[in-house]
Amino acid sequence: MRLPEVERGDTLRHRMLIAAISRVTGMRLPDAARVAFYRQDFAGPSIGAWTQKTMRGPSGWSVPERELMAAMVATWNSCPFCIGAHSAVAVRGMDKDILGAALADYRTARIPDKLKAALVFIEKMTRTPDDLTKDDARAALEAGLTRNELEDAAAVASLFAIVTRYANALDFDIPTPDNFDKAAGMLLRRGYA
Amino acid sequence: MEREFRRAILARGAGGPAVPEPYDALVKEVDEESFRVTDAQVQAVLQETGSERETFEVILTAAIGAGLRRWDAAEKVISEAAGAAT
Repeated sequence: MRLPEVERGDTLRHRMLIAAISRVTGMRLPDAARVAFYRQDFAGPSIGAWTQKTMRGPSGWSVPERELMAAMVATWNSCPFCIGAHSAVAVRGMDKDILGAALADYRTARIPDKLKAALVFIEKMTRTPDDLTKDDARAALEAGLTRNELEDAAAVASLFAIVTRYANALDFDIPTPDNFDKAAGMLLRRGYA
Repeated sequence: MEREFRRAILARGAGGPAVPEPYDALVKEVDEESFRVTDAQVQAVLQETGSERETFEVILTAAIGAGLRRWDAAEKVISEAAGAAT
């Protein structure tokens, strides 16, 4: 973590909380949670609420599908922390080999065509947003997505456009695979808010 | 951070006009290739702002700009396609 105060916590309450959660879970509290605690007067609470709604709120997409979308955006943005964190959640709801194949090349992976169509749209949105046209959206709708489903996928991609960038810029510490798995359990039980 | 400057960083994070250095180097990198951000880029902004709180705000604001740009682009074409379909 490039900013030590974010790592430590900026209030006594948050420093105690970081220490207590790390002690109880037996792992270093991931940097994503430390960012969420920092500068509560700024963006943290809004990003937390947005994340909870996008990743756990009502949607035509299952939780593992949304977590896969997050991991895919992380792959396109070269964010190792987010790839690890969101793959670890996704794999609890989908076959490990299929997840691995999707991360390597979603176009040839054995995932539903509708999900592939969503990934085509959000890949372009992630890499070259200015090149998006209504034909891209129409292709997704014609593949069977409802407008709400396409907007929900776009919301995941927008959110992780943000998260991957600050995770990289702040140089998040990368947990071990065991600790990513432990954190995934917490994200499924408690959510993001 | 002053509201106007925050808006300028938000716009730069969305691919907009340059902001003064040393902010621009960091904000542009966060937008374009965040995995290439360096300690030196963050330290330069930290020296300029004199606080981790403001440096954090610069980084998050740049990232939020990049995210909102993508949401706006997606929502525009989804509305156009859905409108054309009805």
